[in-house]
Amino acid sequence: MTRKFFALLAFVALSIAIGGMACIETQEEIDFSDETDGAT
Amino acid sequence: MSDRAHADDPWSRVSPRVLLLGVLLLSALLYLPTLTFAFVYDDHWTLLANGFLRQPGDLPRLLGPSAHAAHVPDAFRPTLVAFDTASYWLLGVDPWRHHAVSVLLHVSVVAAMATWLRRLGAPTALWASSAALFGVMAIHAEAVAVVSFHEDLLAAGLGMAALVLADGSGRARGTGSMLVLAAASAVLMALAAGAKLNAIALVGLWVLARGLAPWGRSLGARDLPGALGLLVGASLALAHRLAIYGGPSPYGDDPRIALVEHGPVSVLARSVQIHVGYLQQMVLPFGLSPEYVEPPDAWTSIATLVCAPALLGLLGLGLHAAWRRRHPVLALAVLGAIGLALPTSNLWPMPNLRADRLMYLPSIPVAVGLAALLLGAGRTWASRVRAERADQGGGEVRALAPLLTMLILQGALAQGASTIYRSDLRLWETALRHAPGSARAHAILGELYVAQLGDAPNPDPKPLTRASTHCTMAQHLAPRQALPWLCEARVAVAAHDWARAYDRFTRALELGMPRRDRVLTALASVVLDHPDLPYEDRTVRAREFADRAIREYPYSALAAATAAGIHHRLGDAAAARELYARARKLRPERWDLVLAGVELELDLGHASAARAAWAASKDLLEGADPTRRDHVRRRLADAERLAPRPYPLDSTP
Repeated sequence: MTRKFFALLAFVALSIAIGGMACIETQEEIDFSDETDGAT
Repeated sequence: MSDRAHADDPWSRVSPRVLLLGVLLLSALLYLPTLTFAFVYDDHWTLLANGFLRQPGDLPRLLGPSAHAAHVPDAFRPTLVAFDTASYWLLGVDPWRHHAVSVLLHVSVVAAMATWLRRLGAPTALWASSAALFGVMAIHAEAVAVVSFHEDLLAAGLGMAALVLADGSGRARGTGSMLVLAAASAVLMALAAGAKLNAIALVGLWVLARGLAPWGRSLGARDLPGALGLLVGASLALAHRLAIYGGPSPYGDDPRIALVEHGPVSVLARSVQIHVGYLQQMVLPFGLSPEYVEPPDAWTSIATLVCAPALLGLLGLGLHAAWRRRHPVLALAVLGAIGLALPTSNLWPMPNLRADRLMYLPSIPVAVGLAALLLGAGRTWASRVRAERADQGGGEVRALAPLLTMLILQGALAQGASTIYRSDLRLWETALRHAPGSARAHAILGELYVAQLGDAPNPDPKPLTRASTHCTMAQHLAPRQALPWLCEARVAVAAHDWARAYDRFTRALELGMPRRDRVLTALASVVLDHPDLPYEDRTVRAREFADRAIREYPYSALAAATAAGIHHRLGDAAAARELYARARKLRPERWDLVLAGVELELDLGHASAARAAWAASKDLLEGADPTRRDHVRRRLADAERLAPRPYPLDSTP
């Protein structure tokens, strides 16, 4: 049962990591050239 | 849940220690990426620039009103400041170490919660899944990822440990052990409330849990010392707060606080909506944000008319479930969450009407209720499938499927939400996207853009314009707040427009700027270059502002450093030397203060004293800005080359 528990835990952790990567907002640190070029 | 169900629970066959270890590992792994994050938000002024942390001998001042009078950050939370002082002396100022402490604190809270539930007699599957769910709840991302918000973690950890000890006191065999445990629970509760006062509501949670006795441990006469211990601890912390501040909130009658400005009626109408939002975010964690714009509302607005009955219905449900212990777990979850949310429900003045971190403590009973619900749903599903298909395979996993789905959803969103706090720029950019009407977000973003320009003599006009636009928008959104004016003043400084900068800083000061040392020091600096004032007037004002800053903010390294620079520039060598030394004590990590001190000695013609000052901080200067360091190094070399050497004694004629 302990093995099953750790296998389940590993599955949850992996799923969280994959889901977390998908959730991470793609917004990058401010890129001056990007917005200012567009605005001007 | 019946006893039969407990006995059938396959997870009860796993050792509790192994289960707990797994739950703690999951909670820690989730926040491992935060170790790469920078200091953000309030970390700068509560940890980095907080000179009080560098003066451990002054810690007793926290017990009286003098620390608050000296504008020590968070002086109304003595446990937190003492903890931060210890962290600073043990760990220095590397961000990753402090983030690691936050993760460890969060893991400790999970452990304390699991222990408390287990000792209350909760079934294995329930205590383990409640703790796991609490460990990964996405609404905790802010509290764990921002170092300076660890007051919530500290208060919860100490408070839950106090509950465990109070329970232990009731089960102790000897009177001596009973009293020792009760006394220890009093100390821990006082410390918890000293970290954040809302921890006193945990006493109510303890009474509720023991009164409802969902798993059989009801209150008895032997629990009296433990109960008294918790009460004494909470009362001590509350008495300390009342004695120093005259009320439970340190914000008193500050006119910038929404409750003071708009009154309780409209603020509570908004607060009702906020709490329904919290509930949704705890159960389904969408819409989490580092910033919320929550203007006061009317009780006749549609949102309030929908949310108020919803909250009242929830309270009614909790009371109904508690009546004759019909559904004790549900009652514990609902009434516990409402009770723990009360201290931060805007009944007392608070600087933010809404913040994710405020739900750290109330989410403890919510996690228990949610875990019970998900386990129950899983078991029902598994038994139906078993009955329909007449097979036994996959029942264990099926029974856990709803819980696992929730764990993955909450965990993934927690990890996603925590990345918002990676850096200040990312944080405030995201804040603005979530709350475009936030004057604070606009103003801080404007300041961040200006800060990126550094001390360039000819700043790039594009980012300057961008910063200026944010400042203007902030002023438009909140013309009576100080931050937008501070933002515009910073833009004026970057553009070397000293007269405009002086005017805007003055405006920010008049509007009641919090942490005035920032404005006073800026005024002291810019007034010296004010083109429309006579020189004598400028020097008098600069000295006045600088002296006022160090008088009102004796633990502000910024105030001491700026005052040192002003006196240095005006030729008050003795005062400048003393203030540089003071600033170095308050912020030993600042290499620029060392270089300024070296330059002071060079200006006085003391090449040997300059060399000694350089040599004393050689290691620190390794991390200094190379251009600045080389400039001072060259000056030092020139001074040593040109300075007349004393004649050797034997060459004297």
